[in-house]
Amino acid sequence: MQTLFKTSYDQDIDHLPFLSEKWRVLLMAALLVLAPFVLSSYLLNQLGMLLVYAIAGIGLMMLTGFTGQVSFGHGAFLAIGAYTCSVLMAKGMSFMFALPVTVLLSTAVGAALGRSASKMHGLYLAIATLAFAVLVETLLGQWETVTGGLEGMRVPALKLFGFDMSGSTARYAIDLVFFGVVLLACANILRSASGRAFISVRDSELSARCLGVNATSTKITAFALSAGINRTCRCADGATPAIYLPRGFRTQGVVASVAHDRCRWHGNPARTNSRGCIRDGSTSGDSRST
Amino acid sequence: MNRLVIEDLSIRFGGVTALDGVSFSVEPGEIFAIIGPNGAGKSTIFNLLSRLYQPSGGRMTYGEADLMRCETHQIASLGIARTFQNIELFENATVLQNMLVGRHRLTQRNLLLEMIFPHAIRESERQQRLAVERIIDLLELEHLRYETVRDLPYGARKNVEIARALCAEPTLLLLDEPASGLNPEETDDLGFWLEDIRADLGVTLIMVEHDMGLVNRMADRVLALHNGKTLALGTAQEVRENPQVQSAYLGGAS
Repeated sequence: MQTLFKTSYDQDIDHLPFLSEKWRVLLMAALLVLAPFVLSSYLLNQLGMLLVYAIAGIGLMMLTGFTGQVSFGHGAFLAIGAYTCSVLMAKGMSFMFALPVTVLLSTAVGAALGRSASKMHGLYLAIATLAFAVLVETLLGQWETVTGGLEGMRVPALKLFGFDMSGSTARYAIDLVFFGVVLLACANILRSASGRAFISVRDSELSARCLGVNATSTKITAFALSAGINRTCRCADGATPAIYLPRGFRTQGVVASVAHDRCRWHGNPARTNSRGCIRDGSTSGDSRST
Repeated sequence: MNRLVIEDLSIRFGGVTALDGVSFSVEPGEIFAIIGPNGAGKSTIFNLLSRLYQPSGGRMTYGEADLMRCETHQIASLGIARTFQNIELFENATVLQNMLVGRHRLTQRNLLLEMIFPHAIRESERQQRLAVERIIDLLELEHLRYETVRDLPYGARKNVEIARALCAEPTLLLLDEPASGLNPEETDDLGFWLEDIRADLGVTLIMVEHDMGLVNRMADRVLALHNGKTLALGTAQEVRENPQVQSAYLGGAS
């Protein structure tokens, strides 16, 4: 075990106070940067997807892990982000404009959902967010003129400053940059007042309110932030799967939430069953819609 | 310094009248104790002051501010902080983080800036930390700074909760049974700290307390409640010798 001899309050504010931690993270970053030079394009695509899902995980972590709000609606957030970005780009908007528009829209929808969600707790919140996910999925499936309906939509090739970014190295680079920015931004939030407000609402909403934390606006902020991050992730994903299908996102969101649960409740054997159930449920839902 | 004035305060829960026309005022710098048997409405007064309950009648003002117009999270900005009977700390956070949340009302927040974490945010974090350290110093919590609250014993948690409330720089502190669950030695220490808090920080204290030793020693004035009504209001000795208070506590004719 390492001991840190603290001589300044700044050491409690800094990220990674231990030298060994710094080296470990630096090594990891170096490996991620060097990956395109070593890996085949297939493995690079896989690693890119890993980073995209890591961003989604961070988004869910901010909401469920730190603010204590359950959400099964994150698949829907991913879907809205992915479709918005792609539709805007298909209409001829450049990625540099489509990205901020998508993140803003996403944040606004997240805030709107957060407003109703802030009045609900536990199981009710889970049901409501699940309903939101189903609603979005249905909307995407029915709105054929824009989304291509259940046939799915072809994702336009990604261009940045006139360069074609659909090559695997370029896509990977975008994923990596987004991952780095989101990770740093979230780590920064968690070491400042807003991050502490999230934690306070999770652990005791009662005393948080009595200390001047506006619980409602904190929850709305967390929902908006989380949704914003998730849509960023889908933009980063840009051109990875060539076709988007409405039902593709529901399972992703549910699996992400269940995976998160698994992390929280270390290897409860009953979990395996419950995941199977959820998968069965979504399959029967799919057969109904086709 | 502000004066707390409560006039004709009432609240009903269904058919139960938990508080029935209670009036009192607390002067700046005073230590004011509220006593009474279980269910007398002591904690209910605190929950009304925190705006957790909606009163069915009456007025509450703190200085110029009308508490009836405030929401729960706005009460802190008036300089009113509180502790809870069943400790309400942020269990999965460190003592330091708990106390920094106490500084919430005095911290500028901007989510976008916090993501970037420029020098100004770091400087503000340093200032908050310095303020927290002053309270840590006052209540001798140095050794607990980095402990997670979940791992702390009961007595230590009680102190951390008082410390967290003090971090909000209150002018009025509401203590809900600060001595419950403490051993005689810890209760003694608590008494000294409450004196320090009043003398050094100039905080007005209202406490709900069953430990009559502590009440006799600390309180300038005592309010005795029974079934939501005022039984007696005066110095600790006056209230103790009041026959109605004695019968409420010990039973007998009412």
